[in-house]
Amino acid sequence: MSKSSHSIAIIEPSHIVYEGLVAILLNSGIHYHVSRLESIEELASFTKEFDILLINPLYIQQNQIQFEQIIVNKEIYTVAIVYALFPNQILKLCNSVIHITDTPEYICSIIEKDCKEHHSYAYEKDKEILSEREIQVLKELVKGYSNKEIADSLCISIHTVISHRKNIVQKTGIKSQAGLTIYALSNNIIALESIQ
Amino acid sequence: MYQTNKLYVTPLLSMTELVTENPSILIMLEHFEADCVLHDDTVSGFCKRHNISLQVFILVANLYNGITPSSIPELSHADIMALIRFLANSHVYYKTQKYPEIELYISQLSEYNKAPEIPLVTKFFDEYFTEVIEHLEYENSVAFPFFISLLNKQQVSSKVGEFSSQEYKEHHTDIESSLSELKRLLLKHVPIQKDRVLRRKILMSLFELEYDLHKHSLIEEVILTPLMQDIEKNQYNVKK
Repeated sequence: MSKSSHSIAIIEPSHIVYEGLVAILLNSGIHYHVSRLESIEELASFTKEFDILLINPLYIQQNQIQFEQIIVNKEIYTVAIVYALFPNQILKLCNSVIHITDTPEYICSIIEKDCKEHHSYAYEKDKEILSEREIQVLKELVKGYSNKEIADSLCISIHTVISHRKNIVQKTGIKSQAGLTIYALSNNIIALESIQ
Repeated sequence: MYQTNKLYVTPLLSMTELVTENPSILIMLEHFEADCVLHDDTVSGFCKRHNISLQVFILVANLYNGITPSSIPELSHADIMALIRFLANSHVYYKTQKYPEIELYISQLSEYNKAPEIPLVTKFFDEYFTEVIEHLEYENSVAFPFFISLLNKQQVSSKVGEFSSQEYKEHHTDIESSLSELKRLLLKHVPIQKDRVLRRKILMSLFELEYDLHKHSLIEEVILTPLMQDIEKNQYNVKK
């Protein structure tokens, strides 16, 4: 149903470690999108926004300046994957650290926590509460009015109607006229008489 | 209904383990025209006994287990035909078993629940059902014949030539999103009266259907369509 998917980039030279991490993330039950990147340069060139970066500190050591720029510019949450000794000042640059011997549960809890803290806004947005304006638009929609008619009756632009409609679909997960009617009826937004 | 672990299917895996881990595989077996008595078969033994291509079986079973191939596998023409047969069999399952089952449940709803939403739910399902049947017909009469004539290097007849992989994909998205809408409405919004047991049956059926439909679309979009595009491209090059 409502899926909040987090986008994770992994920069890690070992194939075994990478595959292991992916398996742990996949089995965690949370929706993640995982991409494997070759280097910090590649991350910098990515237009796609990642929420979380899992990185072998080796790469930070080799390219500390660019790494620091990225975490400032991209507001990305960083987790170091550690299985060798690294100076503390390198590890300190990351928000969290996971070790090769950590249990899958611990690794998932670290990443899950990062998701929640960092993206509480996204979680809020997913909630199904319609704004007053969206409710007004929904009422007109289920009566079968067109965008233009709704715009005229609520004295707003068609563009605004379309954007309200988009939000309604996003929040309720329902887009058909019939489905929205059932939704509006069940949530006491409209009375049965108004659609008959 | 959903498998908990991503079990990777290999030729030596025990069939019983495969089904115990993911009971949805039972429906998959039916689509392969195989029965569900497994004896002590391994995957490879089972395929031999039922005359199923091992490669196709492993590919599809892995998809059912949530593992998508990282590259398009190379399949022989016979294997592709087997895949098309599998899909055609799933159509029969949807049309003659799953949808009628849900239709029956939905028609019983009004006996147990007098809320004004119920007639709307029935109408929603009827319209959805019509849409699905139309799509299945389209696949049976346009998409599959198109694939088969490509495989046999035949001239594509004009009706079959209307096939478009874009349209194909859009249909799937529509069907899956209407289904998820219906599930959502019944799970979150439509008030419950005396229909608790019936509602659970409907929801379980909808989840089951959704699972199989999703795998069905994956086979078509991730495996079949790209394979067909390759074949089409090759044939075009040969002509040139």
